[in-house]
Amino acid sequence: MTERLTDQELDDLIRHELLSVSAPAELRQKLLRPELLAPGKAGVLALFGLSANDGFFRRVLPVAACLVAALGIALWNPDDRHAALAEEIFSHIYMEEGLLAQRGDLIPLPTVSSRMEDIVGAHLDMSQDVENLEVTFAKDCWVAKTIGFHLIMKGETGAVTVMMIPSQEKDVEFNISDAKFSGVVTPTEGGYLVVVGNKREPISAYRNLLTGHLEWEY
Amino acid sequence: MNPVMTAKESDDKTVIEGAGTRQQRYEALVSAYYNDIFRYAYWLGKSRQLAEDLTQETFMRAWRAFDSLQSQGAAKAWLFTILRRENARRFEKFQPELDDIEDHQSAIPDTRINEPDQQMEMRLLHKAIADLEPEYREPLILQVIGGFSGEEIATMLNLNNNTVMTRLFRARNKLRAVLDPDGEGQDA
Repeated sequence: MTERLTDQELDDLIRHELLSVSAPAELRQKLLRPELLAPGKAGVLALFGLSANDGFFRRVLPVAACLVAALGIALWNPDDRHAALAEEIFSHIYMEEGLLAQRGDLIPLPTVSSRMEDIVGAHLDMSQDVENLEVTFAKDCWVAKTIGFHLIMKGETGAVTVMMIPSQEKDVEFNISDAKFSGVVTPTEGGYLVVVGNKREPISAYRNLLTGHLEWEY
Repeated sequence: MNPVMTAKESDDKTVIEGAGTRQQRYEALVSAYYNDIFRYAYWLGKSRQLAEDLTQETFMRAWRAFDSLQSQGAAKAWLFTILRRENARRFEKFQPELDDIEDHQSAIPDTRINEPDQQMEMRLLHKAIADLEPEYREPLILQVIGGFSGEEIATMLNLNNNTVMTRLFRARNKLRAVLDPDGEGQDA
């Protein structure tokens, strides 16, 4: 370049270069399939095979099958849907029942909240009541055909399981129970909040505490 | 307002808060902004693959929270803010070293720039933008791609307006120094 650039010329060049980058042609179509975007985990798209470089395309078919199953659940009448969700929840709890008896170190609440935010896009507003919760387990989980957040905390009479299951379903709160446990499934802004404990546990108190301090992002 | 917005994009932006279904309004949101969101992600992360992932994650979250979007005017800033947060989260977790900026080829060949020395100049500029420190690069991207004002950028980046204006000035000066080394540089 031999002549000095004017401010306008410089701006034009910068604008041209910044705008020269264009999205891949197929990206718009991917974005217009929100049913594939429903699970709430950040990064889950890669798991769904939408990230070409990751080589996960082989996972698309089984995931698609799960989505069809999820759609089927969504179209059932509410009682059937609730029963199916309850079964999923209890299956998950029994599958990981060993965790309920663990006496591991407590996980700091900010850590719990941070993991929750990473996994399902929600966090806990800290308050004294929330900070008194004693959480012994906090991880992602595969439940009800999606990636949820599973935490276990010490209750008054035993372990209490809490799950957050991302969903756009507009639903009503419903109780669940089996021979051993009772619980409640509460629709919140970004998904279901599930609280399950043994039958003497004050489940609704935990439900109230958590729903009152749960903030979904955006 | 982004000066390169097409009539189609303008229509899409009108539909976002129109009377359509949630799905239709989401589709309008995607159509209006996915290219800008991809560009922003690309210049933030300097990788097309990362940009694609970030764009998908951004719209995934936008879809989930779509009902909370109150007005068309806020849509773009909302999306850019989601993307910034996703990018920050990603880097907190993985600290990836992704930089395919050297391999960049514009997806839309520009017939106005077809001379070898012009192409060389644009490659130089591309690398210079990518090499800008993030504190200078990001306000510039938000201004040029997002079409945001200094005050809007200040709000998004949690800075004061003067800081943003200074960084924009210095960013341009740094790029000028690359393209026009004989020109007199200015400093704020």
